[in-house]
Amino acid sequence: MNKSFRLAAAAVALASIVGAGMAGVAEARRGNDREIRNVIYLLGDGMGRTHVTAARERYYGADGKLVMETLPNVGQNRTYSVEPGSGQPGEPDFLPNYVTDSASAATAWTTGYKTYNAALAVDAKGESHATVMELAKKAGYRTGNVSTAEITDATPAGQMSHVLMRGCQGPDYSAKACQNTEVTGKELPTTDVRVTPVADQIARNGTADVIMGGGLGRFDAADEQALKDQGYTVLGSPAAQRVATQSDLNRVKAKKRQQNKVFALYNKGNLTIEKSKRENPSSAEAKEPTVADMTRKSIELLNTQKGKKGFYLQVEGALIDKRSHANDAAQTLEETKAFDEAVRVALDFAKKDKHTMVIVTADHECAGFNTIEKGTYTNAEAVTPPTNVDSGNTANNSVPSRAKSGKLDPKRSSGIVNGDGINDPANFGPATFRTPDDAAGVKDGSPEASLWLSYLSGNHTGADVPVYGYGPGSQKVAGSIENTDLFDIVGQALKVTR
Amino acid sequence: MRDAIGVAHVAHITKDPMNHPPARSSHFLSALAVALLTLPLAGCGAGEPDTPPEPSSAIASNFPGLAAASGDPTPSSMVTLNPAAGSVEQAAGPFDNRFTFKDLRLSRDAVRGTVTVTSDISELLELQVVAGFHDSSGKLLGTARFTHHLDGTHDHGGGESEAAATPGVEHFHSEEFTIKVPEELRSRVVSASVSVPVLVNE
Repeated sequence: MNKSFRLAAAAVALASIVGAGMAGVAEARRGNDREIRNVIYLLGDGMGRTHVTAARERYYGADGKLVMETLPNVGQNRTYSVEPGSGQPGEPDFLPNYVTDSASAATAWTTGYKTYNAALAVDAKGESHATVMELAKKAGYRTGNVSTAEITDATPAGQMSHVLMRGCQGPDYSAKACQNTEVTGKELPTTDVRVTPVADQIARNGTADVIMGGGLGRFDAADEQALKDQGYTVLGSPAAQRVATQSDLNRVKAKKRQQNKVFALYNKGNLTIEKSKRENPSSAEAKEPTVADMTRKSIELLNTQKGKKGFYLQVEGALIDKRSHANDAAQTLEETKAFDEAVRVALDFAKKDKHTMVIVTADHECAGFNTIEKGTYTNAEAVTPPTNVDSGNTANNSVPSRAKSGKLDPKRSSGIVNGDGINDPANFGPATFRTPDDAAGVKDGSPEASLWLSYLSGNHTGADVPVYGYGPGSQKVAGSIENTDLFDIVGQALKVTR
Repeated sequence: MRDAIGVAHVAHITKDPMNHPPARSSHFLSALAVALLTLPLAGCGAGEPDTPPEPSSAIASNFPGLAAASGDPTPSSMVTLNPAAGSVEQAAGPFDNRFTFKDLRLSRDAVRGTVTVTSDISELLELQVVAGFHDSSGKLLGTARFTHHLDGTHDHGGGESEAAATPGVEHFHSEEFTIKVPEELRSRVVSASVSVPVLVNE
């Protein structure tokens, strides 16, 4: 084989390699099926397993599905937090707390660190850690943060602030609300970010390009100016304490290849629950957008970049939790449905876009929501709990011993709480709801309605919560995962973590 | 692939039927190989991950133009208030639509009352009531505070009380408070004001 032939053969081989590389580049520019450019992370605050089941049955019947239940990858999310001063799981000073709050749960998925209840983007020893939204912003993604709560509240704030105590929200600093000497040993100087009110941080750090929700009362004229100086379009006015409206939102148009930074707060406090807006259509609060509206507009504003880096958007349906604390099943169901409509908006976008991961999960379960058998009653309504002795097999006996089952105690439950017991403020009996499986004419609050719902308490529980995933890489949510794993899943999808 | 075919074509037409040493063609092929190896390919390595940002550099911790707090501030609305002698007047604050005051009264040694949070029934994380003490000309002489903190502690007296249950009315969180008048001011205080600068529910 002469030299020319060998050189020609080598050149052919080289050309093949180069050609393959160029084809790969062209494919990447077009986008291959596995490339993620956007992540939409939807969080139903307080949304446990029964919240999903009950909302499904209420609105779609036993054999129906919420939109979130159509996502192909399903797992369970372990939500426990840790005590102040604790190490991380596996470390010798690890001290778990089995029931989290929204702050420590948010910190888990935003930073990958377990922390104590009330901490936002700091670990249990008080050290700040970068949030996945900060990392995404730094890496060149567009970012958005939407909530039906005050945006200084734990879930949205966990992406765009760092504080020792979630009560340090603003507008004013308060040593009692902001400092945590149990963790830091002594009070930190007020120049430290960890004791800077959340509202002050959000208005100045530019972490989220699009910010929508409630909480106008925590922002002031200086914050408005700081936002405008960074190029935000501010809907409504923190200086004048004028809330933004749905009309304001509709007038904002996304400009291609531009930053589209928007700050819009629609209530001085939390947004108004959907049931109240529906029942009072002429009220000012009825003008507030839904969480689905805010999700749709946020995607429009964020989806303006060409190329590999798109956007990271977090959306919170916060009022599921707040109305579960109140043990109001009717409101809880409507808020879960409203949140599911935001999932629909995200999923519709992801299906068209083909380069978007959608994750839906919760931070914790709230209030021990449960479906009980039709016509029965809970222990809390009974004279005593069920019998627990077995005369035939004493091996089954429990202590304290109860030879008879407790009957319904009329003093403790005067009827179905949204039915004949509605006027008794001490009543906590089941709430009943009709579903599509019921005959026409069956009413909410009646004993004939199919869905009987009860609450255990007014507080969070330690139950694992569901997690659903769609899109490239979302199979990682399948199985039993830690809430801190969600930081890695999202971070790796966006290529902002190792 | 076009380049591979092109190179093969060049190799064919430069073949010397006389088997003379193909010096120019071999140089050409060598040069082509070098060119192919050094051809800049935009996005080459697109399959490789981008370098993640350094985490510590991503944390937003500096806020130019933001003055650091010098302590718990005095509500500005209190400074210009001039309550009537013997009275306790509410000074405007950011959360006025979220609570109500009841039974406000001033004695020589304290301001007392009840504050009820009406906006939310989830756990009360932080609540602060500030009392301002005014002289006969309305001048604000000083302030003192009642705080309810996440761990359930209360400062300056007072504590939780149960609001009366009324059918159909949500049961809100109420706090009775007592805010002591600083001893050095007692001889000059003739009226008081109250405001809520801190309020956070779970």
